[in-house]
Amino acid sequence: MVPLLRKMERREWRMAAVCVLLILGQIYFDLSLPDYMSDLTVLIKTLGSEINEILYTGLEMLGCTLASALLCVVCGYLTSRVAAGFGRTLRKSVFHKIADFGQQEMMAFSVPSLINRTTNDITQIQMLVAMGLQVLIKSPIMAVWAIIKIVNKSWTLSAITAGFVVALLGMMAVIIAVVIPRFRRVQKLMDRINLVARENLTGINVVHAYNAEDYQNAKFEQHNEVLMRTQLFNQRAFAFLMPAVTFAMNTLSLVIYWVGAAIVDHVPAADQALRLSTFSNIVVFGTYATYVIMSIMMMVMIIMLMPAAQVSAQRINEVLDASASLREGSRTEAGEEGTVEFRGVSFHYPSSGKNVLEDISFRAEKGETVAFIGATGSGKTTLVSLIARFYDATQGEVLVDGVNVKDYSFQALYDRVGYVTQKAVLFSGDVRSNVLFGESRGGKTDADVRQALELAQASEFVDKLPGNLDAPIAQGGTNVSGGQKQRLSIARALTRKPEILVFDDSFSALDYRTDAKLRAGLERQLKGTTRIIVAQRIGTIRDADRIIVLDEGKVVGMGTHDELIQNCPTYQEIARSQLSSEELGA
Amino acid sequence: MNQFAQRGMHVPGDSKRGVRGVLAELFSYSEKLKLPVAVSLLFAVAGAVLTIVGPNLLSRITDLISNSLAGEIDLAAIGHVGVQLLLLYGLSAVLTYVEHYIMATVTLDLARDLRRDLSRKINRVPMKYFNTVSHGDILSRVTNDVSTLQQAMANSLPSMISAAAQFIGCLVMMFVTEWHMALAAVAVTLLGFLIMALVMLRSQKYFTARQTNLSALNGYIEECTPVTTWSASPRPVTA
Repeated sequence: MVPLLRKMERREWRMAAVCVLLILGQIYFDLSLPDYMSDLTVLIKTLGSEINEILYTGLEMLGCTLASALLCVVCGYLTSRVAAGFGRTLRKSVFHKIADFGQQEMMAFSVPSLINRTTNDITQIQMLVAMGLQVLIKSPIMAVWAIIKIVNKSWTLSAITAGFVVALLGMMAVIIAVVIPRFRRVQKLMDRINLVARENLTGINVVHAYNAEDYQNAKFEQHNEVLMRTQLFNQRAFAFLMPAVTFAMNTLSLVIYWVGAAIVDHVPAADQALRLSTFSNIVVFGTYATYVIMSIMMMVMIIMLMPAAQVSAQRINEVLDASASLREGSRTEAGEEGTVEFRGVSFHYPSSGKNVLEDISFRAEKGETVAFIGATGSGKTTLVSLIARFYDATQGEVLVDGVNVKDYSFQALYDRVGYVTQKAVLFSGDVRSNVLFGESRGGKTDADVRQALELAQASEFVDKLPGNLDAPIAQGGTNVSGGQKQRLSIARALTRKPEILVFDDSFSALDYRTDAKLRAGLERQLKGTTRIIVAQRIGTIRDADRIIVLDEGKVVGMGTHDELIQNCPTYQEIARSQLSSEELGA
Repeated sequence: MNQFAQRGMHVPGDSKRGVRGVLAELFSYSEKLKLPVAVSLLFAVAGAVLTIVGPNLLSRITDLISNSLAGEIDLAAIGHVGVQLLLLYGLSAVLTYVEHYIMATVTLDLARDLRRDLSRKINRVPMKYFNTVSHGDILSRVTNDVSTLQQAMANSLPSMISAAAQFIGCLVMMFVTEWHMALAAVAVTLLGFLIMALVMLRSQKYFTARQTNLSALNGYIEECTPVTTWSASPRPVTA
């Protein structure tokens, strides 16, 4: 929790410091009240007191209360600002940290957990700071101050009070120790519920199509039950706390008067003055002791929030401390332009030892079209994802424009490489915001957008949409078809005007004609742009300058279509399954 | 207004039904809520009333002491009252504990039922509903909003009732003891109430806004977290 607090901005620390001063002021005023009360008691009991004296004392008390109230209001305002500001700072840090995460970290944390950590967990901490700041500072100070005031009045009673306080603290410690591990479990269970519900939402089409509603419901309910049981234990444990504290407070008052009576009795009956002052001391003691217990009660209320906030703080720290395994370099300039080279690249995923790619070497010059083809699982997508540095090669070097991709800053790398994913992802917004997504070197005007859409063969449907460039796109792009999504995804990469375009099986959702028109358009208009295409269809890659055939992560053929038809058995197999014998012959 | 409202998407507005309406809906949603809640609120009231009687008894002790300052103090009588008070406090504590226990159980049950029914509804609602809402918003309701409701019902509701009971009880005791002072106290307290009511009225809309913004934030973050793994641009422009 403490390292997290260090993230508070200076402005918030200043406000918190002012709060501390205000609280000290409050305590001073609050604790002077019992003294006034005892003065009043003496005045009332003493015969011959002037009514003016009583009034004056009363007015002073009123003044104290008003002062304390005013300080409290100002303090409350400052506390809210501190808490909200702190929450905002935390959220910004966490969000930026997540933006730096690569695949590995995402999978380690899981996306719903990250979402919860950015929203739910930070809100818990914010609540704790808002409510806790005043109380956590006020209570201990008040308790100590009150104790100092009363310790001199009576050793017996002080001992009794101390006994009560120790017992209370002990009980609190036990309950908290029991509850904290379960709170952590509750947060994890919340994550899981979020995960199941989220899966359900994103896959709702599949759920309906396969009549899996009951299955999904059962899955959810299982986690729901466990969540409820854990929370039940926690809240029942806590139910114990408040009544116990109230009981202790009341009983302490009782015991003080009880024992106090005996003490007063010990004073000889003749010495009335001493008896009176002893009695008034007892009354004051009783009030201050109540303050002590009340402070503890206030602390209890905040302590109830602490375990949840502590767990939240830990979860947030986990995110902030996680170092992104993919460190960006610092180079922004390169010697060549539009070249991609693999030198002896091998790769295996962090979790498995088996190589997915083995000893891949090739080079693409500026303006060339290099295509990759192979059976499902042959490593094509993995290969091109190394160009975009989603993972780092475990052996060998991946070079873009003659520079190792690890040496580039991310900005520099992505300025050069435009990557079109296998599965098109669109975001809630409109057509324009989707096509202009992210930072790039390309232009941002509507003309640029239209040009990209034209080239991506997307104009024909975008022009028909209500609002054209302003047409709304739902979250995940669910209101456009798969083919339309892919074309928008391609347009998005085109606006960036990169030197190298990577198409990871991006034409698969397009019909043959659109596929052909698109590639022809790219050849015409983007002659200087290097194109790396991953495909399943021979038709798509037939005209490439070089085709690389992959089989189980290894290169089994490299050359033009005609060369491979002659020499590469794997390629022949693929071609035979797709093309007719006449097409093969031609 | 957040971007979702601008797109005409469904965003929670201020509840036209008010707190009482929402409570009524909750009770009709879950029949088995009624009895335990009534019982536990009764306990809360009883516990509160018992604490009120306390000071009355305590004052008997102080009277016993201060009246016999001149002579012998009747420790036996004090002891008698003391034991009564102990029983009183003990009973009050037990009642409050039971009340907390029942409310925790009942509200967590309710939360579980709500989540379960939300999940089922998600699987039954027509597909086009999902075009107009963000996933993050729905998920936020399933986790955050249900949590808030459960905590409010388990903690705020009984506190409200027991505080109301204490208020009425104390008022009665005050008038019975000394009605002049009682009137003065009531006047001052009413002033405090007035200020509090004004503040609460004006702050309610901020609470709603906060929950709305939390949902919107949730939705935005949910969209952006997969971005870094798929998109050509690593860092989305942060709002």
